[in-house]
Amino acid sequence: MSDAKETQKDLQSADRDGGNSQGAGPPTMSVAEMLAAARGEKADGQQSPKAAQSGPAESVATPALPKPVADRAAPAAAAGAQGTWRINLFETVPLLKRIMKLRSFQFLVVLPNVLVFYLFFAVALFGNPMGNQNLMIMIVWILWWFVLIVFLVPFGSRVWCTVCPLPFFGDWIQRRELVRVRPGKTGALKNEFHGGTRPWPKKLRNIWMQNIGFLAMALFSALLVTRPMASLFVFALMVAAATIFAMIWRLRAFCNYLCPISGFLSLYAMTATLELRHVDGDVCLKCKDKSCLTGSENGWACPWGVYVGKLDRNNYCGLCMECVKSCPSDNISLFLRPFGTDIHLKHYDEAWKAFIMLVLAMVYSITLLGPYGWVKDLANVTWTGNVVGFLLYSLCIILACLVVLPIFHLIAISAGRALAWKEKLSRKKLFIGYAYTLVPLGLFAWIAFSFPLLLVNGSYILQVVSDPFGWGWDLFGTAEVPWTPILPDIVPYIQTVIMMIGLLYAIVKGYEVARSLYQERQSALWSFAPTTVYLCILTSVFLVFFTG
Amino acid sequence: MFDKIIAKLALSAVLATFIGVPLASWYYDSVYLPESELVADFARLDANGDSKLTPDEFDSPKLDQDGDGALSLDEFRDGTKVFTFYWSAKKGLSLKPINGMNYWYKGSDQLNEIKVREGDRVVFRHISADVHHGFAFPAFGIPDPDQVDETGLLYIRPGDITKVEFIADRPGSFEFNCTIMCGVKEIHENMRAKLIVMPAGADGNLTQVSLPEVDASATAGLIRSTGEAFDFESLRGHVWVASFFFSTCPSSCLTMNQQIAKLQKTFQEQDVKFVSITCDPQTDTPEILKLYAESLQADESNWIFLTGDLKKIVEIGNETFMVPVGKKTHSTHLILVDRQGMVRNTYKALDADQITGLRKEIVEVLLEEK
Repeated sequence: MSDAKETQKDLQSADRDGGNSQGAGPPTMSVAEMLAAARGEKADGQQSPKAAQSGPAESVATPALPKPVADRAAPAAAAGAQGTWRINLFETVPLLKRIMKLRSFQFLVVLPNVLVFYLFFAVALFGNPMGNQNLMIMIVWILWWFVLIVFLVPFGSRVWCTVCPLPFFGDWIQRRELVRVRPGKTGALKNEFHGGTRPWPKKLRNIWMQNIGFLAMALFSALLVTRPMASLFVFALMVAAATIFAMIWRLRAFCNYLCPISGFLSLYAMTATLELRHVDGDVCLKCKDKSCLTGSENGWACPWGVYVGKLDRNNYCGLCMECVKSCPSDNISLFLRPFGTDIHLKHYDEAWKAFIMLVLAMVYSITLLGPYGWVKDLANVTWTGNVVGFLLYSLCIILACLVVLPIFHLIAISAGRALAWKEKLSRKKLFIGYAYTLVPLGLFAWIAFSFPLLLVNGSYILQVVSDPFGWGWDLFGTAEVPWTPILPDIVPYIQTVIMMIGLLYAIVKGYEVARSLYQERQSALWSFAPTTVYLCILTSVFLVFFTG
Repeated sequence: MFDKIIAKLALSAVLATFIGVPLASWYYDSVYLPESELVADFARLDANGDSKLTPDEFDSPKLDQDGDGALSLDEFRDGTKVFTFYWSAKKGLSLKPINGMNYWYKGSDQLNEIKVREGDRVVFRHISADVHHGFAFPAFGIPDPDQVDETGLLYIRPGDITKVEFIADRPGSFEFNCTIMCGVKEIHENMRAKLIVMPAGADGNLTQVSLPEVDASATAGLIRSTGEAFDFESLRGHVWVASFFFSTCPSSCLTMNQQIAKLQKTFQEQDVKFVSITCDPQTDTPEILKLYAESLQADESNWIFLTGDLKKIVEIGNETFMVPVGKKTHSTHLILVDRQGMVRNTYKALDADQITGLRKEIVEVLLEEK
């Protein structure tokens, strides 16, 4: 059986988990199913009762949850249903649209990053073995991290995925092109794809692997941020995995299901002020080809398996801009929007992502920035050789992420559920729904963590930029800049302000979630009250660690 | 149109990236930087009137022309030899770059000695691969008072290149070392090497090096553990091995002296004497040295323990034996002196291979005519 036939068979397989995303989650359906669902049909061509009932623009992913904000927004509206504004950037800045429509766009933005990553690898192998003298460590874990968490994610959604060099070789293998697009047919896709054509295993169509990956990386954070070779090992593993995945599974299986950075971005991109969406929903409804998903002669099939017609959250759109090129109706654009427009988590894996990320923000703050030498010793197992201590440290983190915080969360939502007894909602709905409150809180906790990282260690960046290998170079005359911590005395105050903003943001957004869950305002208030207390407690714990 | 151009150039751009990064790094580090650095050095030296070579005469740098690990510019025309040392609290002292790739591997390329010729201008470039290290080369007046900070130490800071230069104005074997407790004691104490200065015209054979003679008059005033006054003149005609220690040291001194105890047993029938000088005379009075000698079961007839004025002892270490000595800090080298009072060689006491070498050379020296 040819690969194409196998792919076709895979695509038409009815054995899927029912599709929870419709372009709003990591693809849990085959492309054929998504196409069918997008057209309001079952994969076998029958009309889907749910689709018929709900309409194609409504998420069928969360029947228990109310309609997401974006679903209720009028197509191409300048303002959302809740009075939120949106600015069509392609209309406002036509040059931006022209740039995004360039076939060479992604290549041109990824290539410099490939070069930089390649330089990082060289520096890790041949440069100074100490982190503060090594370009890779300073740029990746201080500068990149700061820029990512403070600017790119809150303002650019998953724009990092646009320029990410990790899947460069995988894409190259699958497309056999660096710039051009190959029209053709690969299963249900309208491009000529090479490399892997198998569908990703059904049971793994979630972000649990990303959760575990990020957690595992975090356990070795002390090693990663101080040893260039450890970082090199992880990044080399990620490049290798992205490439191998592309040779086995179709599209960006690595990015969708394994990349720990992708998981991190998927969660916090929900808060971003940038989104890629369709302009006019009716155009998508009438569109037969669904080229944004399947590709065309102008653009590759969506590497993320997202159908823009029903895209209602930023979580799983990697902003590669292929759909902008492939859409025959020019119906896809970038929009500017208010912070925190996507407010709905939809699955347990996403809820646990929020738990893990919040706890890890705390763990990083304690281990890397805190004054607790004994914690650093426990984390730094390669230096101390204390394996038992490290295992204990790891166990505590794993338990805190996976068990302790979820239990506190469960207690809070159970109390809320009891208080809002007039309107009974399932624990699952509340558990997942209110877990969103940890997204803004977590984002601001990470921002609070990142500020001292840059302020205290920023001067090292000037040094390593001039002397990337630590070989005594002075390319830009900044190699001799002494270590100069900036505003170390007021860092705790900055962190306090950031955390308070995060708390406020979490409460406001949490209340929005509550209002979307409950019909009655009173019930929403009572239901959300214990979660508010729990958010305040979490913030207080952060403040204790930040202010010492 | 633009896309078509980029599409045509894309593969070349990718290949250029993968080839260009290492090529540019190599060129900058191995060609451009040494050239500009040495030109700068020579220009500076010219301004002082010390160098015979002007930038105009500069051809191109010859990288390690003679394969001795030294980066040299027209080595024999100007006589300047440039060595780059890599210091690491984990790997020790090496001429090979210590980087991310080899830092975590076990084993090391520990440097033992380098060679120059008498009259050479020598430039040492020190690079730390990890923590702060210190550098001292007392035989050539390094550190210069202008280079040290308030602690009196010359630091090798990570991220910097610490440069020192001097004229190898006399033949001999001279030791330099790390002067800061930089990490694990065993590694720190091994972070030392010798500069062998060969007489002009020598072909590199160590035996042709004229070694320093022990100045007996400079050693007057030392006191034995028996309470008797002592000077090195009494050792003339004997083969002897000198070392520095202090009795309260729980690790390297003890190991070193246990090694000497074994050597004493090996050569107890021969005309070999051992001289151990304390570098903590305030604590190590003759009485304490007596007890210390007994604890080592030393035969004090040919193992002499000495104390005295600290200033004098430091002077003996730094100037007579050319090894770094300070209060409670000292070289762990054993210094072999022949019957004529000439320093023949130095050996690391904590290195089993070097001790084997010392045994062999003692035998050779014993076989020489009196």
